[in-house]
Amino acid sequence: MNIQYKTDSSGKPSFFNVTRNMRRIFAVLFVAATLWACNDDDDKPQGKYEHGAFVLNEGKFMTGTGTITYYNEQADTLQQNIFRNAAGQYAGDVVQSMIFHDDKAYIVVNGNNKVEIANAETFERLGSITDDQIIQPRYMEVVDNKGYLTVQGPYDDNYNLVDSYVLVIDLTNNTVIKKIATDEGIENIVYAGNKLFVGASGYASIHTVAVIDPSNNTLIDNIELDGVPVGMVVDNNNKLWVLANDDANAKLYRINPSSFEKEQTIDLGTSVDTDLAITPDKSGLIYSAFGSFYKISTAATTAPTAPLFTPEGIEAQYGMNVDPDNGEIWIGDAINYATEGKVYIYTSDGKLKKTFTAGISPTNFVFR
Amino acid sequence: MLLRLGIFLGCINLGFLAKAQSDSVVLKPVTVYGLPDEKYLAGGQFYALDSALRTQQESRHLGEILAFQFPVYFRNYGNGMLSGISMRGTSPSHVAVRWNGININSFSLGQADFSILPTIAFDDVKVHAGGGSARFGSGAFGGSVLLSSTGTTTNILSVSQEVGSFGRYFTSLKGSFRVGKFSSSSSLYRVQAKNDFPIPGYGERQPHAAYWQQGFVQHAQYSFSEARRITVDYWFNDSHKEIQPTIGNNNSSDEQDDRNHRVSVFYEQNTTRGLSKIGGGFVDDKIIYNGTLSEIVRWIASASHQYTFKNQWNISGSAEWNHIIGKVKEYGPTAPEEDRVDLAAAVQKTFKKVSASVNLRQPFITHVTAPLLPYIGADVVLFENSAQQWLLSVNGSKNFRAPTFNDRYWQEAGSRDLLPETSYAAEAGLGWRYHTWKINARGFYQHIDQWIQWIPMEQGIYRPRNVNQVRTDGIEAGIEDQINIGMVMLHAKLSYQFTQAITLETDDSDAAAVGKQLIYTPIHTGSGTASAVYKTWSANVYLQYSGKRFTESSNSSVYALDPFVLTDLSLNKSWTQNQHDFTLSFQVKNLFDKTYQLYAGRAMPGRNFNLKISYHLNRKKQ
Repeated sequence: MNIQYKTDSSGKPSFFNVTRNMRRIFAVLFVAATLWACNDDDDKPQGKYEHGAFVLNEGKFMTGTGTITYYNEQADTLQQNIFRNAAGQYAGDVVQSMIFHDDKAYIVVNGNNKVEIANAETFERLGSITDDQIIQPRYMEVVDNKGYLTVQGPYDDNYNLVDSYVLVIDLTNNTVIKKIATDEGIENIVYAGNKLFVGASGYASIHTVAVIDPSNNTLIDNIELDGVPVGMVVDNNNKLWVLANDDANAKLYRINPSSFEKEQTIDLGTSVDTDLAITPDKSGLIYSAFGSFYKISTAATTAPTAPLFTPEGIEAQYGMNVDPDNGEIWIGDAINYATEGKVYIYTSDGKLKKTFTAGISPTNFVFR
Repeated sequence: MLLRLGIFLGCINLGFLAKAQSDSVVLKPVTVYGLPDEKYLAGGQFYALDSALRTQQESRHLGEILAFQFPVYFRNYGNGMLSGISMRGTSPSHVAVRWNGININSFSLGQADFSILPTIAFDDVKVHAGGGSARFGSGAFGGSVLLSSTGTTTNILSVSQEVGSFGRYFTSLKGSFRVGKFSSSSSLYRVQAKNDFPIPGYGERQPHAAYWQQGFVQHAQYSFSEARRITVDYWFNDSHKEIQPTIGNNNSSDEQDDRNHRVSVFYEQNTTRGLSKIGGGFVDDKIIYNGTLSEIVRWIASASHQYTFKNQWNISGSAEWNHIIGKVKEYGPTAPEEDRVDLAAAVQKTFKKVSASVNLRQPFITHVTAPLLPYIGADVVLFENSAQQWLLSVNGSKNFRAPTFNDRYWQEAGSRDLLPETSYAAEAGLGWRYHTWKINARGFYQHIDQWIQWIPMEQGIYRPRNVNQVRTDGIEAGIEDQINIGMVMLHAKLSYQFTQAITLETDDSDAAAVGKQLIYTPIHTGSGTASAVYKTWSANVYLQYSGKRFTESSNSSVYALDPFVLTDLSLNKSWTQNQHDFTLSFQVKNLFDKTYQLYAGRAMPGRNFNLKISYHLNRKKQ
């Protein structure tokens, strides 16, 4: 339920920054274009997904009804179901996560054991990445045109995960080139300081963040935590923050991505929900616990005492992220996991700004 | 395989069956001092599965063929996969399925999986539409499916072999004999399919959907006299499925085995003092999902008596006891056990132009307070002469469904405090028979309360709660005619149902469902059959129509399944010489290659073919 966008790790102008500058230009162009074309057919893909928010909706489990919803804030346009897989109706079964890379969107479809590839501008399907080893894939990160896909692997007869790993995928030909074994139940993957960090959040007994060196694709360390890593972000000092959940006392760890040392540990005094996001200036962290949302400075040493806000009307909080443009907090409500979910947008100071209907079980938000 | 004898031999056709029945020596016609269910449920709607369809498609499971015959809908999770029936707007657990009088719904899930009800296993398939708990017990809301395999076969031996598209093979062997007072009939069957059909519109073949199913049905009886006999019935069905994944899924590995043993033993006495039956049964339902076994064991004892007074009052009374043991890992280390006792009584009387009946049933279930279940109905002949008849049918009933074992005993989710679901149902119909034409129309209404739904609670854990209130109503209509043109006998039947199934109340988490149609419940359903018989040739066309179905409770059209019409075609030729019958049958399924889904995301095959060859050795005419 967490989301990674391409992080600016090197300080140099990255792909991500370039697009961020460009997106303002596109936004102006887009508004102009929509004024010209205000009687466009809503059903047809408009072929313009350069800038906006993408809601990943898992769909109803085992029915293949996962979808991607697109919302353009400037134009206030909402489009449901923008990506169709080869079957032609929806994106697939349990749409889990998505990452943009070059001119493509890589959509991890957990239930279908596939990564679908779409044209990032039009969301037309380009193909998919399939492999016998892709079993319950979760998230992907891209380094040097190689995809690093976290894979939970199969269950045994007692529904325990027994073989989780990261698959290294050459994105020039979409083939798996290496399998890197990890602890069981891996989820999030983040690139920081030339290393990949992989949180194993599957089981209460496994509390590690695996470190992978993408220069030789080997596992070089497991950072032990006191709690299950459920969210990871990188701050403005290029430090890795890990939210580690626990029944009574979740913790925030600040980790040096070169030495893998835990430089700071903040006790949150509560159990938390499974998402961690960062403010646009990357100096503040957003997390939630028991339906309340908290903001904590990356310079803080103790947990905030009062929540930033407590939303009302959410039945089943299922996903959270922060818009890197304006700091707005997006919350997905799965309601009952079987009906169309809702998205709540709160301003950076915690005021409800907008709600809209998305697909079934909105789990993730990707901004670009 | 056991039955792969390389056989190219014939089977019974409609005409032969009718002829053969009159030749029967296994079951001599005797006066039965009791009435069939149809009479005791006066004013009710019964359908019988067409014997031509049953014979031609005996290798299919019931969930693949019933929708071509009656206005019902099946949510099939793929081709040959889990299949749940929906009748008159209710869900699959709201239809009671009975085999030789024993309820065979899953006691853990509530519903019957029609994919493990192979047509070959039954000699007779009847469907009662509408509320019938007073006669058929728990779960008879939308209707009841009444199956029997009591060995009405008149053949000494029959063998059949089928070959079909996508690596599908079917073999069956049936035999019967009589020695003195003992008679026996047995069936063995096996079907297997690679089931790797090209997914319509997708460009790839369906992966991971192979299945096989085999079984054995035995009916034996010993007649002490014309009036007294003991019968033993045994049915073993063994099914293995690779679970067909959603379209586009890769690397799927889920598998399921179903193994069901069902036994019943009855002593029957049929004299002027009435028809008595006393006996018992044993049912063992095993599901092995990815290597994990779940098993429900049931012991059954029952006794019934029917009596007809001289003034044509018919009465019946029955008592049935079920002892159920749930050996399911999720129920915890101690397998929960439950007793269910049903006491029932019924009265039927035929007046001059009126047949009326009253039924009462009182179930007693461990820790559940079940209501008294009445049924009252009547058929009234409004007008009758040699050319036509007008018949009015009315009935009203109260029905119930006991919470399932999953509902009650699933650890950290199930609740022993759940109330049974209850419903009030009423219907009225008018039938008009004019020469060979039969036209009927019927309106139905049902109000279901305390409908149990598993709803997500804290941390997404689902728990069953009595939260739904649902109203179903609608109209069903049918028209049927049969004519002879020269040597050709034509028969045609069409049926249609309009169904509204509206959620009136539910849990807050599903508020968007209120006022909306239930999922997988088409508003419009239709079916049709047409057949032509010319000498030893016959042709049949079977049609099935289903309107748009919502798969999401707020009725979003984004997730709705498109309407479809399916057409199956069958061409048959038979040869008869003395005691020998051969039949060759060629079938085209989904003739017009329609893309359709019965359950969201599960592909169904396009046009496909099946060839069947069968042989019968009949008894000599007496």
